[in-house]
Parts: sequence; C-alpha cells; structure tokens
Amino acid sequence: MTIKEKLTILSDSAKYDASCSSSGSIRKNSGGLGNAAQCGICHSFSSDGRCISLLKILMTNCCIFDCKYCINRKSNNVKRAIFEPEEICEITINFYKRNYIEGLFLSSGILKNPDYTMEKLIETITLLRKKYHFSGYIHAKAIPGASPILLKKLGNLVDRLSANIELPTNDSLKLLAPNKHENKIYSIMKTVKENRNRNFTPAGQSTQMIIGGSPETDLEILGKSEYLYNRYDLKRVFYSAYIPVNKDTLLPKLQIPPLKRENRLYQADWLLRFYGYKVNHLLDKENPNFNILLDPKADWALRHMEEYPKEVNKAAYYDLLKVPGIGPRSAKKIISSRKYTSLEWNDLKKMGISLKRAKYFLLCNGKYFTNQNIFKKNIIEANLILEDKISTTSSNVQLSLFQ
Amino acid sequence: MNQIFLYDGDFTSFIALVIELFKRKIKVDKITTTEYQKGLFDECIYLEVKKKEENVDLFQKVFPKSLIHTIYYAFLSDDKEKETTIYQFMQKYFIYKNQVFHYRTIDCINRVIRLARKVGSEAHKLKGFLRFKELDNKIYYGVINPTNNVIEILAKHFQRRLRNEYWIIHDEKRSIYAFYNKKEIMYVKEEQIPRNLILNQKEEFIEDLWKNYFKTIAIKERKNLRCQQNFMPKKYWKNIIEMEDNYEESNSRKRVMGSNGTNS
Repeated sequence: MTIKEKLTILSDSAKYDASCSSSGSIRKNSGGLGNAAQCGICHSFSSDGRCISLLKILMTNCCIFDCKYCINRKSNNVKRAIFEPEEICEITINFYKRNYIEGLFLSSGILKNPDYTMEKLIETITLLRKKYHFSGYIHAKAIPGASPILLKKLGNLVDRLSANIELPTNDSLKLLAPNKHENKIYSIMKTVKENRNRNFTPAGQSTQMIIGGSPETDLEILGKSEYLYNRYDLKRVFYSAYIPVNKDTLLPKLQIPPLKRENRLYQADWLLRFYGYKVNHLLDKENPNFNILLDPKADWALRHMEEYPKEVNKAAYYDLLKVPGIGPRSAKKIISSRKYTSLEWNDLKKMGISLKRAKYFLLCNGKYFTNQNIFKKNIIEANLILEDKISTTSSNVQLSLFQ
Repeated sequence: MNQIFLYDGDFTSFIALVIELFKRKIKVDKITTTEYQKGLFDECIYLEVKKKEENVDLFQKVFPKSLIHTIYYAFLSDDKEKETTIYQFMQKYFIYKNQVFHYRTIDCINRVIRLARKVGSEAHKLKGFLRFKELDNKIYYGVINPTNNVIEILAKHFQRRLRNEYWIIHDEKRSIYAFYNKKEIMYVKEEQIPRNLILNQKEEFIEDLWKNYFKTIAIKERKNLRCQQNFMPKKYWKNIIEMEDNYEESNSRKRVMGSNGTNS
C-alpha cells in the first residue's frame, strides 16, 4: 500500500473528530523544529468550512471494538491500514516545514488491546519528539482502559490529551458502544487533571459528544458538559452532529445531520465558559431543548425582558455580556471607554461594536436606539429571528481567541 | 497653505521625523511619503533630520512598550492617512498618558487601534496560510501578497519556528524578500535573489499528499463553501497550494464572463 493510500484511509476515518484546535500551549522551540502558538493557528479550511490546524490521522483504523455509530467498527467491511511510526513522523515533519499544519492530532483504533495501542502511540510520539526534535503541537487520544502508567508517559510528550465521552448518558453508551465504559473515560480525565502542569498536557484536555445519535435532550447534553467542565477542568467539549455511516436498527435514521442543533449547543457552551451562564438558567424540564430559530442568549433575553434594557454607562461586565450581540471583547471596550467619557450610541458605532442585535437591549444615557414604542417583545423576536437566518452559521469553527 | 511633511517610507525615518516635529513644535497638516502628489494648496517640506538615532532613542524612552507596539503595527497598515493619524495619536498620548487607550471615542485614537488590529489580524492569518516550497538547495520558499506590510511580523514568527532551516518569504506585491540564514533575518530587494528557482524532487509528491489530505478530511455531508471562504478569503487563494485549482477556476470564470462571448 502506498503512503498516499494509507493517508487517505487513515485521515478519512479520523475526520469525524471535531477537535482541531492548536491553542493553549506555549511549548518553545527546543533547538529543533517548531513551537506552539498560545492562541492557536488555523492553516486552512476544508470545503465543509472546518478549520484545519493539525494533521488529523489515525495510527490505524483496525479496531477490536464494535461501536454502532463508528465507521471503523470491527463488524464493518472497510479497507484497513496501519501507519508505521516513521511514516507518521516523516509526513508530519514534511507538512510542518511547509507550514501546512500546526502539528499532529494522533488517534487510533484499538489494536490487540488498549495497552498495546497506547504503547504504539507513545513509540510514535517519542520518535517525533526525540529523534526528529519536533516541538510543535501534538494532540493525542488517550485509549480508554490502558494502564495509568502509559497514560502518564503519553501526557508528558503531548500538548493535549482527549478521551471522547461520545454519548451523554451511560445508558446510550452501553447500547451503542458496548465495549466502552463511562468510568474508564472518567478515570483518564481524572489522571490528566491531577497531573497537568507546564510539561504534562500544557493545553489541557478535551472531549467530544455525538449529537442526535441517541435520544438525549439538550439539557442532558449540556448538563454533562457543565459537569465535565467543573469536575475535570476540561478545556473544551466538542459536539459532533451525528452522521449516519452505518446501518443499524439501534441508530436513528437521519437524512441530514442536525447541524443547527449542534450550532446551538456550541453557542450555549460558549455561554457557560465565557459569559457566566449556568445550564439551569438556559434550560429546564419544561424547556429541555434549545429554540432552533434563535440563539440561546437571545432566546434567554426574550424570556427575561424584565432585565432589559441595560444602561451602557452603568451595567456591570456580566450584565453587558447578557446583551445579545455583545461579547467579551465589546464588553471590555465599553468598560474601558466609559471610565473617562459617557458613551452615546454614536460612540459605540465608532468603536466597532455591532448594534444589529444589541440595539434592542441597551440604553445610552437613558436613550433608546430609536423610538421606544418598537421595543416590544414580539417585534424584537421577529427581527432577531430574521437576523439569525441571514447570518452565516459557522458551527464548530475554532475561535482561537477564547480557547 | 497646508504644511505637508515628506519622508522616505521607512519606519525609523518616520519616527525620527515625528520626534523632530514635536521638538520644534511645528504645525503639521499631513505626513506622507515622497510619492505624494502635491495639491494646489500644499506646501511640501522634506525636513532633514540630522540626529536620526537620537530621536529614535528618545521615542523609545518616552513611549511605553505597548504604545510602540501599536504604533508599529498601525504603521505597517496600507492606510493612506496612517502617518498623520499616528502623529495625532502620539499628540494625544502627551495629554492622556497611559490612559490613552481608554479614549476610543476620539477619532485618531480609535483609528490607530483599529489599524493595528487589522495588521495583527492579517499577520495572524498568514502565519497559517503561508505555504513554503522546498527548493533543490534545501531552502524553503514562500510567496505572499498581503494587503498590509506584514512580512516583518511573519519573519519573526518563522525565525522562532523554523530556526534550523534556510527560508525566504517573498512579498510579491512589494518586491521585498525576507531571507533567513539560520542566524538572522535579512531584508533584500529583487536583484539580490537568483531567478529560476528549482523545486526539490520530492516537492510534487508532498504537495500531492497534502492536497489529497485536504480533500479527504472534509465531511461531504457538511459541505459549506461559503463558510470556508469566510475564513479563508479569496484574495489569499493564489498562494495557498490546496486552493490553487479553485483560484484558477474562479479566475477563468471571471474571464469568460468579462469577455462577453467574444471568444467564440
């Protein structure tokens, strides 16, 4: 099999992993090749609009597991390939020197057993770090069930580790991924959390959940994310709209992947991490799913009209963040500028703060943006929904600034 | 008459000139390069600064690092009024001191911050989009056509990253080359670089491998070309090898449309 054929098979089977971020590490060039960039760098964007930052491949797509949703499951009749450690290093180095990539994202199917697979991953990455003197970004998958000693070895070589939780509840996991156990994933997360320092996974850990492959609500999914963020200090939870690659009676028959739902979950995830929201603010048992027509923040605002409008010149940082259209950057600009002058609508425009959505929820020195009479819930809602439809949806693209 | 001060386009000359103007307390209407087309009511002055270095030293002493960084980035912008705006911005610094960044409602302050941001953002994009090709003499050669003059920012980035390689970054638009010899970066003009660059034998193989990876990694059920173009603007496609085909395609389409059927 040629290198090109191998790369095709092993990147094709790695593409469903959403994570491609290369941020959060400050690894320096140790005299060889490469370094990490704190803010992460996107090198290209594929035709699905997703960022390409890392060379994302499997070491092998051979797997002893039989997860129902996975293209590489044991029972599938697909072409299999295995990369030799040297081959992975050669491709990574050649791509890196030409500035195609920021580093390597190495994952793998389970070969023989978890320990054996993990050892092979460690061998490959050790070669890359020690023989090829590569100091660029490396993200590796931790293999559930492998020994903690191996996990610690791997953690000392890479910038980020991840173990995918895959499904939001243990019941779904049992049903669809009979060889995976929630506890094994948690034990990886715990080890990473406890050992993390500037040499051990400096960029932290992440995980991924499949959206729409099992019956859970957004409340359950986001609740799981919140739990993981709090309990294991995860950097990111990625959401991946379920794409049917296998036929199985246990799997839903979807025609198109639930991309809009995935988009809403990412928006809500941002609200948890940077805007000070809690899951139980956003969703509850009566409303367990997000409004597909409106982003979670605007939706929340419309259900809490009594909290608005907020006065630009007085509102606290987290109150400004509750205004649709105002993010951390704009809020900081406002706070910094209003120290010395009182801000008018015109000033906000000049400072480059987008008012398309914010204008409905703000007052500048007691003044509405236009006529106060149009500030009715139903009018605003109609306008915001229209706005949302027009704006491009770019769900899981890396926003490097906040990672 | 408008008093217009000219300089040669170099950052150091610009700084030396501005400091000189501050020292002599001269009225300034505009600062621009010697390429300026003189208007009817313009008086163009080429002020010779004798103690250039002294002025630059003074600049570094008077202004804090963060301000120098912002001024430098704003200066790399392709904005036509940048010099005058930066000059006004520096005047404001004497009034507001370290609080100057808070006064975003003052036009020249806001504009300098935005220019600097634009430059920083383009440089960041090109840190990702720049593509090197390996030549047969082991030099890595990359071409860019940036809107702003970001070559120095990129060169510093790759000096840290590819410090054990020889490389050249070529700004085609401005005919500037940054050449790195494993020790330092040198900026050279067109004539000093040999023509007829020969690619390394394995270059075609690696490029093909990458282009193939680029296609494979996309999920076809999620196809979203508009999103792709939002993040990777068309103006950069010409120099991004995996987008070259799309670039030529969109150009030839333009040509056909422009020729209005006369090619039949």
